Amino acid sequence: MHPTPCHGPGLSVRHLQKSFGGVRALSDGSVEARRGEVHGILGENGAGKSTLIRVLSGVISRDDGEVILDGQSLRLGSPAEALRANIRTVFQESSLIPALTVAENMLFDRLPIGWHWRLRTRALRFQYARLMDGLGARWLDPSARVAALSVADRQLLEVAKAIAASPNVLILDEATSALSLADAEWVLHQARRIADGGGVVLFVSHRLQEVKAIADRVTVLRSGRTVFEAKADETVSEDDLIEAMLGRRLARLYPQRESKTQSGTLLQVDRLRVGTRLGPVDFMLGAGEILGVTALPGQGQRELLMSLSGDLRYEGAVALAGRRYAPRSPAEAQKYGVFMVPEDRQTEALFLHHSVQFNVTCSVLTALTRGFSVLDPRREQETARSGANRVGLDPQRLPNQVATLSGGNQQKTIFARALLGKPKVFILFDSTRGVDVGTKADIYRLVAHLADEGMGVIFYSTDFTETLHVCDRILVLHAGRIAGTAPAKAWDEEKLLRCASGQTAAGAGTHSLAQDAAS
Amino acid sequence: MKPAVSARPSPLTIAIRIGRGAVFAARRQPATAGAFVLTVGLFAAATAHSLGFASLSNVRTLSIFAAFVGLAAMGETLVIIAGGLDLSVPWLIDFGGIALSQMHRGLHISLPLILLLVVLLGMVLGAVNGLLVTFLRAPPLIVTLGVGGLIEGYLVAVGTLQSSGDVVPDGIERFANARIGPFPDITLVWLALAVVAAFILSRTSLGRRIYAVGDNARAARLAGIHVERVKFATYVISGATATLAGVLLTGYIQTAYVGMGGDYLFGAIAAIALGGTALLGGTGSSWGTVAGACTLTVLAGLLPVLGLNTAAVKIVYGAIILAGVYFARAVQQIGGGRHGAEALREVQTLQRASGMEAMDTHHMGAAGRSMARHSAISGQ
Amino acid sequence: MEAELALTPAKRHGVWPLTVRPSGGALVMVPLFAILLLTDVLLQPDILTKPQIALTIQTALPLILVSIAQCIVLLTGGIDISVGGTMVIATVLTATWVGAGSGSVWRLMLVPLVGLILGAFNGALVVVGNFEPFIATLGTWAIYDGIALQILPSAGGTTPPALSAWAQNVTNLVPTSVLLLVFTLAVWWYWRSTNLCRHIYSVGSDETRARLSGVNIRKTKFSVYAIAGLFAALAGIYLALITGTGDATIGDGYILSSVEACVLGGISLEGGAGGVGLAVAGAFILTFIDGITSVLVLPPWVSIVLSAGLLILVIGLRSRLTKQA
Repeated sequence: MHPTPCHGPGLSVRHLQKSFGGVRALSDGSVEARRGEVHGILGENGAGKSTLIRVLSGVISRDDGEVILDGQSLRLGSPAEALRANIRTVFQESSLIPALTVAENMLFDRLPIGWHWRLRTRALRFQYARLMDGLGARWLDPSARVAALSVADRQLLEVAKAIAASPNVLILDEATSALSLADAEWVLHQARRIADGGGVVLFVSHRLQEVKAIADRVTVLRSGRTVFEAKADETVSEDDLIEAMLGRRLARLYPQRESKTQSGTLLQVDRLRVGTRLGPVDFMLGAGEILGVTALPGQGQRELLMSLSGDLRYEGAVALAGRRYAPRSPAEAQKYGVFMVPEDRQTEALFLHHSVQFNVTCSVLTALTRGFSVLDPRREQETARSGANRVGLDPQRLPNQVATLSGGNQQKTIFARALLGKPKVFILFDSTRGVDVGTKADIYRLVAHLADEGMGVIFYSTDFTETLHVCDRILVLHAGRIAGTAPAKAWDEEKLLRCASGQTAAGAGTHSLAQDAAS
Repeated sequence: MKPAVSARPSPLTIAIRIGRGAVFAARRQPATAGAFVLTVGLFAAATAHSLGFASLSNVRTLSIFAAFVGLAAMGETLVIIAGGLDLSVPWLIDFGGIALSQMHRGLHISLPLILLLVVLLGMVLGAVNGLLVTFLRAPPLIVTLGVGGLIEGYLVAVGTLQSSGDVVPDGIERFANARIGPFPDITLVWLALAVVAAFILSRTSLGRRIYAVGDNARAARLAGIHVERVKFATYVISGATATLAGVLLTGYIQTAYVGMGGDYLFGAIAAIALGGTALLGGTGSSWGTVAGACTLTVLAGLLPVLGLNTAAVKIVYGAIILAGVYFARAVQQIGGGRHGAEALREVQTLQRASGMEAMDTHHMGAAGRSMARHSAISGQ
Repeated sequence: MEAELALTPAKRHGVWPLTVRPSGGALVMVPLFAILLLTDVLLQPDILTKPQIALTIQTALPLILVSIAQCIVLLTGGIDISVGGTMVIATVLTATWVGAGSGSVWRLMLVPLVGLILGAFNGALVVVGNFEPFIATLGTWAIYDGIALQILPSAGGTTPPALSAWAQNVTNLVPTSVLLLVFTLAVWWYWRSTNLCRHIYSVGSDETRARLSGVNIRKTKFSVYAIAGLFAALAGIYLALITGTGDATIGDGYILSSVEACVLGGISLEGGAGGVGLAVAGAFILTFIDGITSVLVLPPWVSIVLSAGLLILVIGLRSRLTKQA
């Protein structure tokens, strides 16, 4: 279903395509937004929302498709070009320069320049005060450095900066996620004001109700395609939107998993706390159990997973198979038998200049040496082969440079690396993101198989459907605390979403009561 | 039809085999091959200009000078591949020479023992570099510069040698000027150690970890590699090879003074870069540095032969460093698989894009830096 | 000198200096600077006379100018090894081409331009040629050094006597070196509130974010190297004028010293933090160390060890400070 091209002034995005390393992130992204409207964009994680936004803000260039603003086709080759078309994007606090002051950031591309390109500091101060007062924004000290601001203040500044430019197109990408209620309301109010002033506002959010409340129309993306477009009034129910977002899934994607009997506690976590961002949390992981963890972005999931895998220091008591588990580094965690697949495979897992074999064996090198740390090439090759076979990676690929592999095969490479270490606890940090469906199915099967072998798996994913189908039990984090935990069968997508957004929806209480009923 | 292959392969088959081997090696390390080709080209040009350049004695001298550059750069190659930098090399060289002479005068122990002691002390100094870099998490450029300054201060303090000739141990003088067959001892020491370094890099777990740490330190940590230990080890090795270079240099020039290592400060890095090792770490090879040292030495020998004065020599020297590094990079992209380079670029685009996601969590430090580093490679 | 060092909490509509605030390194630099200055003054009280102050500044000024050049490049996260080369080209040009006769003094105006061009070449290598800054400027350093040597193979030449006399003057109402220092600081005061300066900080602090904010990264980097060339050339000119002669070999010592001065002043090699004022302070710290060791007639190694030790100390303290932050 495609949006009907609108005539007259507005933003028209037609059939955008974008692939990364063989993975289609966006295959047919289309949005029609008239001037004067707030247009909600919905979709699951990985549906292509962020890719669409990045194309529109010039961060990445599109492979194909058109972007038309008021009848004029835009190239959008760089962020500067997007800014020139006055398309402003509120990234999640990412475009502020930490070394500069609040006022300088606020007026970054319109700094009052006087004689000889000199910045007129008085004028800057004046303009800043005028803008902030005009916007009715919470006052931020103009001379404070952005580096010293809190996350919420930065987010606020980012929004204020974009709005202050009276943009033609304002893109709000999860702009309210880190804000207090009052600030979030201010943002929604300003978005409406921009639209009323004749601008186009694209509003991207996980919070369905928020989108419904603010948007005039909504576009839903799924698997890189625009699948739904409608007026956001009473005729569209939340159920319709959820169904459009989730679609009808291939049942066969997920392996059948019979509920199994618990065979004892593997990992016992007591009052785990990491800084101010996580905790205290308590939970347990059984041997042979797949424990799903899910949350909206920035709710402490990173702290939880990274501390368990030895990368972050934590307070609290964790016991692994009855013994105290307090790793000081990932290397030490691996000695205990805790392995993880990191979140961002490019920056946290892969050695891009090197071969697949190099990447597979790098965690188990010591076992492949025959004294004086000399590697045994034959043994290394055999080990790499066995690792590759285990995850369904073609061993022919082993000598290839890992950067030439598709996202799916790169992910398999990392799985092979972790599995060679013979983990007792296996932590997956959103490892199905950005991989093709085939690899996803492979990963689900593999995870089920590993659990059947008695491994404890912590499966973090932002994809609710996937979490529901793959896991035995699901734990939801919100604001650094456990918002609910219950067997997977007791959850559905709506309950997960409500719980993850911090609403104690009906039934959530019973989930909490049902928590760890098995243990 | 002959029933069996003759026992002795014909020279032609041998040549073909060597050729195949060379092509294989060149495919694996195109930048190294490129630097060797450049060396041969420069050598041929010099010989064409004056036949004497190819004389045995000249080649011998060149090989000795190449050995000094090569040794000074050997440990540093490992440091750079692991993502670090060691600017204390010239002072380590000074230290090697002066400590050798001092100990020879002060301690009455046998020469091999002195040698061992000097190299061990060099390793200790390297360890100081390594400790400061890993514990302070300070930029290696500054730390090693500071340690170099401390070494210099110490050397100036203990006093430069008054009469040089007789304080350098005779044994080391003899060794440095002797040769086995047609090969000078120093050259042989260098090549033997180059084999060891290449072996460490390609065949040991330490070597693997050095590459891993330099390519992506964050990933290395999460993959269970002790990043600090690996970095530390490279600085220790660098301390050892640089000090050894100083010892041999002292033997060869039969004197030792503060400042004798000065030329190797940037010379070593130039050799490493010419050999195709990126200063950002993660890639490169020890043979590349051997090739780079040869290129630099032949170049330094060739330019005066061409009748250029010191000034012109410097200019051409600088130009060749730039051209050579550019060449090494180009060759690496073609030979190392255009496919790979393309994919890398694509991946970098993806990284920049996904970087934004990484940033909204507070945990942007490592990812952001790694991204910046990679986008620096692609120059975007 | 750094008035903004006092970290007063800014008030809502109160006066607030629109500056980039000092990094953790500056907090180390200030006491260091004060202690060394005090020691120097206590050891030789007569240093506080006008000619003596002028002389101290005169000694420090070439290093100050090179350090400024280095500092601007470091702010973007790069490094410029070739400042030594650019500097000696300017020196020998001043001693030969400019000092050729009374009619050629106007050529002095062109020497900074030469520096700008040489710097621009570095910038082109980094931006267009995609060279790592270290390697690019390492190569051009050799080239520039060679060019200087070609112009003036052995130390010699003379600078215009009148200009030299002016530059060396320490007894005027306002001695020349003081005048130049004040002028330099005034230029910095002016420059740091320009748009280019902001772009430099943005690029050094985070390239990705700078790009998202619409900064032209290539243009910024290019400008930075060109400006560094300009300042290195100014340092060379001044050095030639105060020594009255040219020498193509004096540049090498300034390469590492300039980096040292920047680090001692508190500038981060990763870019985006610090300022030219800090580089000036760092250059003074190095000068004070030399002054103290020479007045106490300490052996030369003391000065070497002192500056190297301080370098490590400063880096260590700074990483402590930033870790806590």
